[in-house]
Amino acid sequence: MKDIELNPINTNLRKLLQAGVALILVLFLVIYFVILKNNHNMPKNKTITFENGRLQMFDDQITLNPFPDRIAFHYPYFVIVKPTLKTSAVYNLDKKQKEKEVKEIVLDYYNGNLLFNRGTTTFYNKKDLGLLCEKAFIKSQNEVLCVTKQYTNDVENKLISINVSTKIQKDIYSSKNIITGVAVIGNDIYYGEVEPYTRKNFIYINKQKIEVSDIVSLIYPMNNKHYFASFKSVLNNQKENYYSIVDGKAIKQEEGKIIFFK
Amino acid sequence: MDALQKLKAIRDFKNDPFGFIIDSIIIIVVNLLIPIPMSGKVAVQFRGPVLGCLISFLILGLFILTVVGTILMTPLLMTSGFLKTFTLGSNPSANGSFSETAIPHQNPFGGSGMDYCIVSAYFMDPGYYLIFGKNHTGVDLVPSDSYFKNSDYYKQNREITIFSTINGKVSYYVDSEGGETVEVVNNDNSLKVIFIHFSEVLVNTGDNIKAGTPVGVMGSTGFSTGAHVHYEIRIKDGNSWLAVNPLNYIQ
Repeated sequence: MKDIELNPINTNLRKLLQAGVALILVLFLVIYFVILKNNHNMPKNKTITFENGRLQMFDDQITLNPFPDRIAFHYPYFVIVKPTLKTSAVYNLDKKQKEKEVKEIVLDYYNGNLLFNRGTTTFYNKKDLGLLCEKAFIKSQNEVLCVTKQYTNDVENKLISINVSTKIQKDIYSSKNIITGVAVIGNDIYYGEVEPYTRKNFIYINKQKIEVSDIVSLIYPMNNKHYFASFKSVLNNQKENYYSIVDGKAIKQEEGKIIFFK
Repeated sequence: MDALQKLKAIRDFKNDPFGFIIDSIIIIVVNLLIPIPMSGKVAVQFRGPVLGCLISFLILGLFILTVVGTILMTPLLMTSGFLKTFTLGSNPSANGSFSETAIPHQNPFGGSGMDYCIVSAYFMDPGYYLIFGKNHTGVDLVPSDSYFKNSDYYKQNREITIFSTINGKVSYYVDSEGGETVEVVNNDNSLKVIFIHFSEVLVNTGDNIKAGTPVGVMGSTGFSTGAHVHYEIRIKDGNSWLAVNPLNYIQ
């Protein structure tokens, strides 16, 4: 019976073997680090809530001063604005991570377009819109909704539409009171209003006026439904609440807590 | 013998006048201090090492005095503000970026336009009204990156100093919520500027100051959630003072 003969390992065979081992090692490391990185970036907590001035932003907890800190929400972008620190942090809710941090007082952010206040006016990216917006929302690439003063020394404001290219302004709604928030969800324009003396609150959906029981501070979508958040105020007994808007009615979801994303 | 001694003395003086004077002083001083015969002449024999020791002790003493003095005096000088007279000059209103005026047209951080400041809350800001239920009758300002990079005054002092934007008369008081406040009323009593939340006030009630005079250091005293300056302009309206938008004045 003939003995088994092993293949002699010559120089070429040894090099081939070494290359194969190195290739397998590299492949293993690449796959390992990609999986590890993805797992590392994905937060354990996938919700955004706000309670007692503390924002639970996925795994991070952020304290917001009642004023002048503020939040802007244009799904999927959630912006935390801290004017005294001159920073605004933009989070992408689809990716569940921070998209960018800018040294501007941001009013809205959408798909790389930045709307912010600098000095005495509002800018859309690098373009000076020539007026100051108190609140604003990027409706489309070429159109911005802006809440601005009717008269410079008065608190009364109005909602206007601005064509970014031509800077032509068009009045949408002039309030005898205070417009508190604006958003566009789908094709509908939402805005909130408060009557300071009667403390009555309203939400407008495409100019249809609905009286609601709380301040309309921020209007936003969540899981195909529409909501508005009411931040703490002397006008609402210092409570944070959020409401869903269903069939022209506001239904309170939770008292003392706001859920922005789940 | 006397004649020989005199001759030797004259020769010594001619050859080494400085040494002769020193020797004479040493003999006189030593004879006075140690009344023993020849003590002065013995001391002169060792004048080199003696003078060396004396001078060394003198230099050492001066050095110790300087070091100890510096250590002891530094905190006193720093807190007294005496050093600021060297960095700012004797005239505290010497801020080159302001011009004398009765109508404000600069922001209170200095610089041109809004370059040195960021507005953290606007005049009649609805956000402020919704939270606190009262109107915000001024603007809240914080320094911009440009301020920290370019303000010569900040670079010299490392304090965020607020300047008067008009010429006028000062009133200093603490408001009902604890805010350190400075008001400056212009000379024809038609307009006043108000600054609130200072951590340190640099003027006194009754002072007549010019635009550009440092009035205080930015702080967070009173009704405030963080360091900023509340800047307000009021114009005379009959018997009352009407708050107007300060941003309309800044050029």
